Amino acid sequence: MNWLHTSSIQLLQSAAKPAVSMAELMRSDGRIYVVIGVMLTILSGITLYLYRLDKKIGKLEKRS
Amino acid sequence: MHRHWWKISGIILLAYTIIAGLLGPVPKLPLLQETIRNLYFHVCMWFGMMILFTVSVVQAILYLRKMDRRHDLASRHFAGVGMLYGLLGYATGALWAAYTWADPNIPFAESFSTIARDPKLIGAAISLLVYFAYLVLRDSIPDIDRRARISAVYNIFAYVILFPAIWILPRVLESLHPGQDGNPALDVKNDISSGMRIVFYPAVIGWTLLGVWIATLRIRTELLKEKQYNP
Repeated sequence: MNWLHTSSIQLLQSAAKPAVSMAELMRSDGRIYVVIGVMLTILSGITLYLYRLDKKIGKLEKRS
Repeated sequence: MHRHWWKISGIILLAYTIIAGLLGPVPKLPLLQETIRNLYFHVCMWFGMMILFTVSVVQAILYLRKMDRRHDLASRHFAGVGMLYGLLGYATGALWAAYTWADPNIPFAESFSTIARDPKLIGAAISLLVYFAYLVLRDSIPDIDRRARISAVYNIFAYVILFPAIWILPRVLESLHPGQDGNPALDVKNDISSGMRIVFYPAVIGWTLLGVWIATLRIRTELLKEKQYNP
């Protein structure tokens, strides 16, 4: 009877698995949101770099 | 802040491009599949390059009319960022073609020789090489005024070369690249759905504004350098 017991638990678990849906946005739709996150991170990094360069050049322009 | 509105809007447009470009609806086409989304990135590089080269040639003509150093610097650096965009367009196109044009069933070298003979690719390579020659020519003339004048004249020549090389020849000859009879990027009937233009046009503007921002930073740096050497 033990095997029946374990297999029924496994069956229950496997049936229960797909029902559990939590904050899964980043894992949905082929995880495309991860790609969006990566690209937005790169864009924000480039923006921050250009912004700081812009400010630095602005300061030098004021000085000269 | 009032002078920075166009930089901010450029970045916002690029963020919109990434989000809407990856999530928005696209037509389901064989072979292309999800790579059709490259339209918002690869094609925008070439559109951006064309716009930046146009700004560059306008600045070159303005230099020849007014002989103001600022126009010369602007012409040089808009062309520089345009070339960067062209190179990025070429690299992204190579990656895209490797997974859509290349036949996985035959050796890569064979399909590569077909792809490399494509007139659109050769035309783009010629026009980029003409612009590289612009930099070589420019830097080989030590006298500042002569350099500015000769490179401004050459810039006009290089711009004229763009038209047969990337606009006319690829349309006349047979090509793997889309847009053989008509528009290379926006063939609504065959290639893309009209809905994609909601993302594509903002994407072109966003990428162009980013390029303009980079170019202006370089122009300002060069002006500062000049001030430092001859105050």
